[in-house]
Amino acid sequence: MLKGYAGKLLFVNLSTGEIKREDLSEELARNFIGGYGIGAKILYEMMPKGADPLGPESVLGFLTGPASATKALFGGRYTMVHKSPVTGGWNDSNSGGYFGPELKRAGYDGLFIWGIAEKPVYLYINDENVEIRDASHLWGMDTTKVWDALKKETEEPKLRVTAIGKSGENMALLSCPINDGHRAPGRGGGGAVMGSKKLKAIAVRGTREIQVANPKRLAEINRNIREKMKNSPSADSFGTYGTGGGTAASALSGDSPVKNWAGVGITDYGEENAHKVSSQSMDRYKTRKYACSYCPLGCGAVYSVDDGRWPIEETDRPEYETASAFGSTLLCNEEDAIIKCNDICNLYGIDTISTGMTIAWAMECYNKGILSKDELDGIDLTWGNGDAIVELTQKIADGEGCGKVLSNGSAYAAKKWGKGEEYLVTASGIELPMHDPRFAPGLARTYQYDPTPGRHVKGGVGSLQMGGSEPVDKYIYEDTGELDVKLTSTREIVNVASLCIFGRVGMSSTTQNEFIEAITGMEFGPEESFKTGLRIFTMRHAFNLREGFKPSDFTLSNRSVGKPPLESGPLAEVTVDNELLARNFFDSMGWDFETGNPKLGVLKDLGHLEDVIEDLYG
Amino acid sequence: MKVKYKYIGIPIPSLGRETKEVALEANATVNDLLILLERDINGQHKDIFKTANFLVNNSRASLDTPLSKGDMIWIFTVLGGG
Ligand code: SF4
Repeated sequence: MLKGYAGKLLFVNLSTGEIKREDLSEELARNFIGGYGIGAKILYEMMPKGADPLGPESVLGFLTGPASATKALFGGRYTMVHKSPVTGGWNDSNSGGYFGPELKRAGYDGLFIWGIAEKPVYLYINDENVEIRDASHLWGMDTTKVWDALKKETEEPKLRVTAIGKSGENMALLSCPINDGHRAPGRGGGGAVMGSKKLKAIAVRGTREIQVANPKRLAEINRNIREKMKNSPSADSFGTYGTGGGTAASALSGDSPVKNWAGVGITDYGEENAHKVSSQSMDRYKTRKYACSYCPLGCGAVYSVDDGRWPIEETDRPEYETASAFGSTLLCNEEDAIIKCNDICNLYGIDTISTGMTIAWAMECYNKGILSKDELDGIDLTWGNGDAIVELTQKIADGEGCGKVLSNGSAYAAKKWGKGEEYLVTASGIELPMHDPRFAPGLARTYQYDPTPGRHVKGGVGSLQMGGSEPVDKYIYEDTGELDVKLTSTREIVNVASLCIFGRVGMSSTTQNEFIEAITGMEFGPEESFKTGLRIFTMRHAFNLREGFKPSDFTLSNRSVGKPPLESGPLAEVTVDNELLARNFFDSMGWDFETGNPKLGVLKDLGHLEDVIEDLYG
Repeated sequence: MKVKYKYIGIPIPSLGRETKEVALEANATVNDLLILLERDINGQHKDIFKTANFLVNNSRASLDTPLSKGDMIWIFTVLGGG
C-alpha cells in the first residue's frame, strides 16, 4: 500500500446497524487520490440511479486526503460527498478545522454512511472502536453544545465533532454540519442528508501516526512554502484579517454582488459601508486568531461582542463570503447584524452563502411588492435593515413561519410561493457564491457546468481572472478551453489532496503534486496529475449523467452573466459569453455539448473509468 | 496634470487607503500612475499591481486607459476565491 494513507475505509449502515471496515485499495488511492475523487468513485458504485438524496439509499461520505494528518502545510481539509437534495445531482463540499485529520488518525481515509436510523444517533469513532450511539438527548441542541456534551459524555477532551443543528434535524435544504464549532462543509444540503438519516453527529478520536514516504522531502516542501510566504502581502493580509480583509476591495471593484446582484458597489453600497463590514473594521471584536490543522496562515479568528444589539461572548469572525452575503448583497452596513447572522448560522448549522442569498431574493421581492409584509410574518425587509435580516435569519434557522419555506433556499421558495423567479440568482437551483462572473467571466462556466454547480472553490479560468499571479484579459472568450481544462484539473488535485486553496500564498502551481509524491511515494508528475484531475472531474460528471442530466439541464441565472448588463460602474455593459466559454471547455474535455457524454476514446485514455464506459457505451 | 487616486485591497502600509493626489505627464495612462506608485512602495509589492483592477471616474479601466486632468483612479487588489 502507498504511504500517507490510513489504509481503511469505514462503512456504516444506519438501518441495520452494520459497521464494516474495508482496506483502501492501492488502485483506488493511486487513481482517485482522496477526497471527492475516492468519494465519487465509491458513491457511483454504491448508489443506485435515481436514489432519493434524503432516503435510505442515499450514501453520505466523509473523506480525507493524503495530506491530511501529515505535516503537510495547509493539509487539514476534509470533504463531504452525497447526492444533493438541492440540485438533485452530485455534491461535494469541504471544510477545514481538525475533524478530517482526526478521522484519518483514527485509521480511516473515508467514512460512508447510508440507511436511516430508527431514532436520533451519533457515530462514535475512537480508533478501532466504532459505535452507533443514541443521540436522543442531543436532538435539538446547537452545534457547539453538542460538541461540549459529547466531550463530557465520552470523557475525551480532544474529541473532534461534526454535528448538525436544528436546521439539519428539520431537513432544511440550507442546512449543513458544523465541525470544530465554526467550520462547515456548507453547500448543497449536507445537513438535510444527515438529518434524514437521524444522524446528529460524528464524534472522532484518533491516536495513530500517519507514515509518509519521504519526510525529508515533505519538510523541504514545507520550507519552500514558508519561504514564499515571507514578505508576501497576501499572506500577511490573510493571516491578519482572514478572507474578510478583502471585503471592501471586492465590494467596490465589482467582485462582490451588490443588492441581489443588481446594484453597483461603488455607488449603491459606497466606500464607507464596504470598509465598515470588512475585517479591518470588525476586528475590534477580535480576541484571538485560529488556524486549521498544520496551517501556517490561520485565517480564522474569534470575536467577542460586548456592545450593540446582539452581544455574544464568543463567536467566529465572518469570512468574506459571509460578510458579503449578509453585507453588500443585502445593502447592509450593520456589522453587528452580520456577526449575529454568522453566529446563528454556525449554531443552527446553515450555510451562510445560501442563507444570505435567500434573504437577498426575499428582500428584492419585498421591495418590489412581490412578497408582502404579511407573507414575511410582519418583517419589514427593506434593503439594509439589520434588525429584519437578523430576525429572518433566526426564523430560517428555526424553520418557523416564513422561515420554514425560506430554509429550503430561494429557488424552493420561488416555486412554493409561485413568484419572484426572475430575481433568483442561482446555478441549477443553488444560490451563487460571492464572486461575480461579470467580474471574472470564467466563473460563469465553473458555476454552471462544474459537476457541483455554483462553487467558487472549483477550478477554471475564473480563478485566474479573480486575481492570479499574471495579468489576464478577462473579457476575451475565444480559445479559453485548454487553459480552463488545465486549471480545472489543477484545482481537482489540490482539493482531493485535502489541501486548502489559500495555500496558494505559499505554493506554486505544482506543489500539490510534490506533496503527493513526498507523502505517498508514488510518482506524480505534471502529466499524471493532469490526467488524474480530469479523471476525477469526469467521475463526478458521470454521476450526474447517470442521473439523466444533460448540459442543458444545468442552469445559471441571467443576472449573474449580465443579461441584461448593468448600466454603470465597473461591470457596466458586461455580458458574459458563457455559451462560448462552455463550448470551448466541452471541446477541450472531449465531451459532447448536447448529451454531455465524454467520447469513448477520452474515457479510455483517462483510464480506470470502466464503470462509466459500461454505463455510457455498454 | 494632477489626478487623484485611492488604493483599496491587500494592505500596503505606504499606500494607505486615503485619497492622494499626484502629478503626471500629459497623456499619462493608468500604467504610468502605477510606475510612479511602485517607487513609493520600494518595488517590494510590485507583483500585487500586476493583477490589480482599476476604475477611472467610476468606470472600468485597464493599464492603458488614458488619464485626464482631475481624474479619480481607484486601484483594487482582490484576494479572490474565499
Ligand atoms: S488558510 Fe484558513 S481555511 Fe485554509 S487551512 Fe488555513 S486557517 Fe484553514
